Amino acid sequence: MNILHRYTRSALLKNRTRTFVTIIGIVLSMALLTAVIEGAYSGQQFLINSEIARSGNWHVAFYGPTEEDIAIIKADPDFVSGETVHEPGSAYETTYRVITKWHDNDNVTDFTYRVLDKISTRSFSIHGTLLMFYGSFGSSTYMSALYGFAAILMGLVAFGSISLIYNSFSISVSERTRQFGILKSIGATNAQIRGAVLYEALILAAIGIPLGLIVGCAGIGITLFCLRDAFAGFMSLGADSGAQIGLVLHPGYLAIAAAVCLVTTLIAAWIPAARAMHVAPMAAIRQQGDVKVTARDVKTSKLTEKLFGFEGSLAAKNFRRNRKGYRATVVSLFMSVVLFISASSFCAYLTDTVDMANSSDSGADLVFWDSRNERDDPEGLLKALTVEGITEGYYADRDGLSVIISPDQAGDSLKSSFIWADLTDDDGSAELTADIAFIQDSFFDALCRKNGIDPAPFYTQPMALVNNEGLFRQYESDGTYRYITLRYFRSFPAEVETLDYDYSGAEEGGENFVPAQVRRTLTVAGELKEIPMGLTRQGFLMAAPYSMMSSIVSGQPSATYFFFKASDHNGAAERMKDVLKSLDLPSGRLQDLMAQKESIRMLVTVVNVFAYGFIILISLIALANVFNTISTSIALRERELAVLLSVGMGHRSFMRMMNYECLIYGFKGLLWGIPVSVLVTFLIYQAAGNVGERGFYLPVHSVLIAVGSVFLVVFLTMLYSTSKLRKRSLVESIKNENL
Amino acid sequence: MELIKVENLTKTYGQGENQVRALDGVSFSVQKGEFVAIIGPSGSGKSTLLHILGAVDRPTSGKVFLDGTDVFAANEEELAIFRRRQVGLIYQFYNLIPVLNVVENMTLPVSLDRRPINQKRLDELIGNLGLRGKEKALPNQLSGGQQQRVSIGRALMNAPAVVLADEPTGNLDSKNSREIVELLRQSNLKYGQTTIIITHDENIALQADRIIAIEDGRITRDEKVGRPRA
Repeated sequence: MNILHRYTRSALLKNRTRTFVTIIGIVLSMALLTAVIEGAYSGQQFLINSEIARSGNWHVAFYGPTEEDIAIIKADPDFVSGETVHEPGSAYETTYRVITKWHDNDNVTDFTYRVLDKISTRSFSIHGTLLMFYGSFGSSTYMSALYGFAAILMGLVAFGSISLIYNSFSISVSERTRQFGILKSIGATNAQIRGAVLYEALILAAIGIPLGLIVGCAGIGITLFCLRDAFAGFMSLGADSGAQIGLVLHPGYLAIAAAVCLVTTLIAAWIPAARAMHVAPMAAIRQQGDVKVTARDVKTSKLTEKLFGFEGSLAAKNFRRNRKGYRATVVSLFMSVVLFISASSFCAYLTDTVDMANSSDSGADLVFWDSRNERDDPEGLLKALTVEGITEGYYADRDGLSVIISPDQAGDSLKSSFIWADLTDDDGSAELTADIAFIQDSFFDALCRKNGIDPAPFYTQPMALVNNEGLFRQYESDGTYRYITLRYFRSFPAEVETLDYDYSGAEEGGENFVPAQVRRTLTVAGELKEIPMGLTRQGFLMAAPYSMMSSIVSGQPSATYFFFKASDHNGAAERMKDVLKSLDLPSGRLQDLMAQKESIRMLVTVVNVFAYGFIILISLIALANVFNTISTSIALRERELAVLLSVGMGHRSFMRMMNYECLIYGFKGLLWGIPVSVLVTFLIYQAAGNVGERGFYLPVHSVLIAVGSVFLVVFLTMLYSTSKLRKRSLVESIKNENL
Repeated sequence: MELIKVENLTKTYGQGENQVRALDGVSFSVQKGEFVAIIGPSGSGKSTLLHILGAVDRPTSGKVFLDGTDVFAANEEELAIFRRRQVGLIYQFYNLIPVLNVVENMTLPVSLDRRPINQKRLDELIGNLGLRGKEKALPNQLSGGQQQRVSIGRALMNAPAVVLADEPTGNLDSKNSREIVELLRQSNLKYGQTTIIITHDENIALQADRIIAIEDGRITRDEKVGRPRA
């Protein structure tokens, strides 16, 4: 057994903390790499499986092919398999679906056109969505953004892990420079010493990489398992689709990740070793190579001394003497701060977006729409659908109606808005399109009473209520938008002219049919302070009783909407589906909005989990880095610190000096970290673009946590290291030549 | 007058079978203005004695009195002050702070004491120590002999009650050694600086007023030396 190898192993065992921290670094790096790669791959597989579950596993579909066509297709070298399907209701009798040996758009397209040249049918369709999930983006920026994002993540992980592992080895080597010097002085060659360092790297990698692989796979596997319902919900597949997200291992990718980690470790071990090799043995023993400071390096201003005393200026000098080492620590802190605050901002703005989208609708849990055609018993259907678990329900027909508002009727905010400017006629009035809901009479009465209005007049003349605070999206020139509120009417009642078209002669009229313009008057009697569920504040909403429909609009809208609130939306949805089936109505038209909202919320949670989980892991790497650097710099300065104590530096003075060093680390990290975080948050705000009146903001609590953590980490490390120092006696430290 | 009184000083390390008695009931006293050399073989306990005198180490039992005060009756903070003001320690391996220049290293005890620097004394010391022109140099820009001079300067700057030197010439060539010892002698003669120096070198020991020999933690010889006064 090589003596140097034995020496390396004993050195590793002796310095347990350093070894442990380095292994943790390797494990974390490998785990993160694994998690990101496996997460992306499993996600991709899930998307592919979902798409296959949704619309079948095929690359190209040929519509209405003849038998010869199919034979020609089969003969093509790129053909793998095909099946004939019959889609009832489609324009073609048969469809032939083909799987090719390619997974990318270009090659599949080549195959398609090559085949088309030879076959008789000219109708085809390429399964772009599926191919996109395989990785061929074509013109899809969405997927490429996603993969780009994963690539950035991996870059960050690589950066963080390289810096940690490099740091560990760098320190371990500089600690052992003296031993290397002694070894060289008794005849060890450079190659042998390099061998010792690489041997160390291999041992640590052999422990760390497999562990990291297991931890990474386990972590991402568990996460995906816990979130499988959320993902399924997001794809709106329901329980009967069969596609669930799960961990899919790809040995090839994992091997690449392990190789990357190994190479990183070896390089990280090599560089400091190479540096130590160039020092002459004697110099190494005397450790003269260590502190090559120049006067300029350690120059501190008089202000430092005045403000922070002698201890402060000593701390500042100490900070400057080993620029490279300290820079690595500061960069780690900086990175953690930026990542943490950015992730926080990202999650905050994302939640805002979701909340915004959710708040503009007023809370119906289930919606069903029925096309009118022959059925004309909305009351009966409503009763049938009011199953156990439903707390409230009503139906309404919705139609569009042009409403002409004169300038003296219009509210100020409306008149000064871009909408008014666009829609004004010569006489100064604007023609707006209203979305009028004809609400089930009994529900309408209740609605009136809730708004403090007498419903009786609404049944004797054309009369409607209006949502007088409409939400509009105002788009800026850069494509972002924000929500504005407009008041339509200045006062009530307001009598307006309405305009719509009568299509009742369409079938008989044929090609030359021109719908007749119908003008009516409508009294807008009052405001809807509370919007009935299912309807939205967005746009120009009006409401009138169901039975008054024919006096206000021409013709009948094509669909009736049924809105429900539920105490148990899952159970109610199931029962309603049964009712619909028994009535021979399509159950696909029943929408469980509650479920959709839940799944969006779940998705946001998922993103939060991933973002924070990732950040915490990266922060752990940074923490280990910081711990490594600080504790080693203190250990290396043991003798010097002992001298200070022996010359008469008091304990309080000493701690003050160390605390100042901590502060410098912390401040430097934050000095760069906070401004960059603000910048990144601003970029996120721009990208989000839709956060109503809130404008740009910084998640303050995250900033505070970041600042607090930075200082906490640095101080704790300092405390731990100096406590180790104090355990040794002063004399030992000063006289000990084995440092 | 009696400056230092050492009473029954004992220092033991370790436990049981492995216990080492570095000092075993050592007692002696030193007069103000004396130049004492302590000699003895390796492991005899001389360094331990010096460190206890400098309050850098605590005795297991026994007392040390400086100017009548029981040194080790003080707490940690007071001991730190004691080290700053009353003691000047010089080591074999210079032990300068690498990030401070010559002047800053020399005035380190004074800075730690937050007292104003006696520029006249500083200037005189720099002259006497032959460091003129090197005031702003950092330790890594100085030779071994120069670094040791800075060490001496640091020890003398506060005009301590006693200067303790632990093999100060151990790392130097003969020319530098002679010069260093000469400096210590001068400081002793001119300023009456009480000095205790540990050495292996008989020649250097003979430069002192008094030689104390220690062996296995006990004083075996304590005699005045007649030597030519310049």
